Amino acid sequence: MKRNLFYLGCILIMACLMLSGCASKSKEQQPAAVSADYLRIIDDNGRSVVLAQKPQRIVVLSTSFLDVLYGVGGEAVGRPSSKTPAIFPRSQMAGEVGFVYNINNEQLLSLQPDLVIGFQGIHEKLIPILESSKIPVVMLKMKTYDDVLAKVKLFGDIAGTQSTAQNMIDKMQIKIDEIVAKLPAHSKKVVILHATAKNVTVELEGSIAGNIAKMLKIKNVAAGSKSIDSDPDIAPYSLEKLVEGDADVILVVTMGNMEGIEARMKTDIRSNPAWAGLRAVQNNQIFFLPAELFQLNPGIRFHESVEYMAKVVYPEVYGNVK
Amino acid sequence: MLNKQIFSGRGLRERGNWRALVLVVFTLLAVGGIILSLTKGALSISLHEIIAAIFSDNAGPSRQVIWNIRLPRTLVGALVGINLALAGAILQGVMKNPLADPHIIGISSGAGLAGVTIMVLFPHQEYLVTPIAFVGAMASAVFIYILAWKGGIRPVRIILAGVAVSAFLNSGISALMVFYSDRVHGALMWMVGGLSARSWPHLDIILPYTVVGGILALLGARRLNLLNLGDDIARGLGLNVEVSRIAMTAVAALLAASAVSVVGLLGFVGLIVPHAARLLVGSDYRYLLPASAILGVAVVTLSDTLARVAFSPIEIPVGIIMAFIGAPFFLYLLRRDA
Repeated sequence: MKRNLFYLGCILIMACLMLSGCASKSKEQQPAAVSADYLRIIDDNGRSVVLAQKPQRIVVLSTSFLDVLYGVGGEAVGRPSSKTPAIFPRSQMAGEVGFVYNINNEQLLSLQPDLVIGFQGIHEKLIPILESSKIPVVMLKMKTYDDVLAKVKLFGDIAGTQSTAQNMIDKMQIKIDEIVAKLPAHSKKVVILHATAKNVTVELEGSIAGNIAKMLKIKNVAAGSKSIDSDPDIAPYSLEKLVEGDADVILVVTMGNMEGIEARMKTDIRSNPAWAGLRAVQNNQIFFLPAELFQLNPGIRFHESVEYMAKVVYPEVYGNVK
Repeated sequence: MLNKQIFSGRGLRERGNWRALVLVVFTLLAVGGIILSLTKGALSISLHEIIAAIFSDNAGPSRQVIWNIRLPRTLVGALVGINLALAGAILQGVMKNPLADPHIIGISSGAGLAGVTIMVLFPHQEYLVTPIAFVGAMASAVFIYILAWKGGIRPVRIILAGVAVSAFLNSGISALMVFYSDRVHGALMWMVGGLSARSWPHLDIILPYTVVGGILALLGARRLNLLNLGDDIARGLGLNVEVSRIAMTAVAALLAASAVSVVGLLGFVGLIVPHAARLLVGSDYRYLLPASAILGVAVVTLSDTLARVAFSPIEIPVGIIMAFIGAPFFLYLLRRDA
């Protein structure tokens, strides 16, 4: 009985997540300096947050945002504990406040932040605590390229380094434009698998890899399919549809370290008759995408993710990876 | 209307032909489930093509879909249904407790912790999930038995030891999920249980256990009937109570562990299918065991078909579907009988 309750609970939670996902979709930030206040932010949950002065003690609760903040020349006093290497070694000097999904409230408050930057969908439960302590807190999301651009700009506004932020945006855009300009006329079909051969979960257009595939005009076999939610990032998918879709290339977004997983998963896929019939498997067109560029948001390295996928899918145009 | 008459036909129920009727209905459901599972899917394939794909060797997408994806998946689902339903029916008899299921003797939590450990800590060794989960399931079952042993086995002690050990192991699973939150996706899918991407190799793994376990279970039906009379009466009738109990629990553990290691923690079938069967055919294990097994096939194949078709091409893990539809149905049966 307990198990059933657990399942029901799961479904209810999923339903709630879906609903909340729909409700808080795509609200643009409109940072606009209003009179005496330093900055006024509408976060991705639609909350309006006013910063009276330029924040001096920022605590960032997600690694992706930490890299963006340091990228635009800002600094934080607190960061999440993480096993993934940070781009900016300097950012590791900030105090740790626990793992992303398990932030230590006391640690967080003891840093006396004057701005807390959380990740949408993860850190909402901290809002009441922080608000009651009069600490401004924003919930932000970062998934697609547009999100990244908006966040770089926003963080530039927060850190008062608008020109650095604008340079960074221009640099990324130029690199991506260069890659897109060289795209071959005939685009390939891909399917992007999520992490494991044990089940069939594909990444749709809303995911990082799906978004990059779209930018590269690669046909995502699973994209555009009607789904339960209005725009989920990943979904368990029908293997039969993948046979019908007949992709040229299978891309696999890995979680954690790539070494070892790659060889093993290729063997697993080839030895399982359910997979082995796919044309891409027979032609040995299975490629692995590193977690730091496709599983976690690449943030200010977005152009590297775009370049990586371009090389994997069109090695004849862009040269091989590594 | 007919259904209602059958349900209220208590006089008829005592006789053999009621049981025969229920068994026939279950069999029809199971066969229907298998056929439906073969014919329905994200890709619509005509019946003619399906038959051609099964009985001939011509290559092509429909052959690939039917022969390498749908057929083995359906068969794995059917065997998993048999194994879990039999294991649940046996355990409910051995423990004389209506809440006994593969979960209670630590199968799920043992397999769960072992499997999740591999998936989260050693993702490059993922091919080890099935064997390690099997070892974990059996190890925790044995461990619970040892804990419960005190000059003999009392069912209540097993159940309490099972609850305690499961809670202990589950805390390990939760800890892994919290500290490696970036890698939980695969583990989560596996914890819910599903048949996606299961094919012939998985059938090879589970088939021997179903055959051997199924035969042993049916051979043990008489012992289970005696055990149900109470320990003293069973002893008086010449049954070695301790040996029977250990032997039948071991059979249940093997059945459940093989199923769980292949499809993940599909816990629902083992609890509710035997109950549903018991409500309809009574507690005579010579009928209850086959009825549970066949109903298990029907439940898993039908649920999996629904899981594949309902939001096609998106698939829902079958565990979710089964609990979502099965639990209310079970409550209905329960109220009806009372």
